[in-house]
Amino acid sequence: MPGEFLQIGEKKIEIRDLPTIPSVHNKILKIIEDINYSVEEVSGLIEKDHVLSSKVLKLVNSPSYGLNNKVASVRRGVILLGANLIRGIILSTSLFKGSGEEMPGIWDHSYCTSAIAGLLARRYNLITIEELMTGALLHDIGRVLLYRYLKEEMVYLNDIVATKKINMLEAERLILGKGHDEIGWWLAKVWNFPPIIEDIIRFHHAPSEAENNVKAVSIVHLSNIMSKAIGITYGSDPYIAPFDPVCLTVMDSLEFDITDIASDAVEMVESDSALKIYIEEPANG
Amino acid sequence: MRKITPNDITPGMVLAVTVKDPQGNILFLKGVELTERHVAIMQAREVTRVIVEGSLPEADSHDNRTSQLLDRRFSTTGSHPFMLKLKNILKELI
Repeated sequence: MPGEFLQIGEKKIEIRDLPTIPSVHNKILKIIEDINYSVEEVSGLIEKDHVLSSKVLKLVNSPSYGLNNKVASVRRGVILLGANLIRGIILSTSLFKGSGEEMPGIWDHSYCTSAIAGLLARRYNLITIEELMTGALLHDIGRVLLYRYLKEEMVYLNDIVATKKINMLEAERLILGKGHDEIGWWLAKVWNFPPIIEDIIRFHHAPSEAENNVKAVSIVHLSNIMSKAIGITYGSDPYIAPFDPVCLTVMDSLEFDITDIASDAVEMVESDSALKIYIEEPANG
Repeated sequence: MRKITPNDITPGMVLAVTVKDPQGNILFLKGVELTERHVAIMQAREVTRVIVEGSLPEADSHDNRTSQLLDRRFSTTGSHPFMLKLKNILKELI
């Protein structure tokens, strides 16, 4: 069980302070808890919400699913994505809402990381595509909490990043004593996600520290680096966090070719009007 | 390695990355030496970008800007050869 609160520096984040989830979203979350949930009921509720509908369609039409024909029906999207990914979309939407001002691009970065993870999963026939993409979509939820509850500290952290030229993760650990990976792990426990998604969020910067789910964690580690390297980033942190070579031991066994996957990822970004802007007009690098 | 359009292909160039059509169907595998016939097929299948072996003789200003941004982004990742390779690939692709 996660603690009732999380101490970050001098601040305390309590479970009851977490953003409230709109009642319709909560209703969907309740329904999909049942393994035999009705797809009609869930898609009916999602269709009433434009933001959720567009995110469901965006993910199912990402190249990760390799579908030749564009999916236009939310119902089909719900069937293909599965309950975990639907939960991930709903919870990240509630959490990201209101964080837009401080961190425009959090959705784009999360989506891009998720789509690259999906590309890797598809290319190398990994069966855990749903969990992978959910974990990738949620990998930075800890950072959303930081921007939401530690606004003043984050201004200071941005300064540190700019003046010391270190990456944000290092700055978080240095100043707050905790990185967004550890903070996100707490939230994953509060939300009761399956262990594989907890592990992805907790270890996405350090696959070598993971005891379980090393393959999934490694893939998201790599996808996050690639997403950032291409320039799909947010906030004021231009730097890619340190690379953990352990992820390569996993990839080597899959006959991984970085040229192929980098090419697929760049192509995916260039054919997506929302993501293309980051390449055409790079903001902070 | 560099990114070009099918119109810019000259016979003899070698594919560095497998070419797919916009629907994701594989057309030609990497390593293939390109001929006029390949170009015609790519144009008919609406392929817009191709990655071929070899580098450009001179970098233009866009390439310099992209190159600088990538150097900066990668400056804190450590010096692992894999990251160097990824950086160089992206310099050609973006």
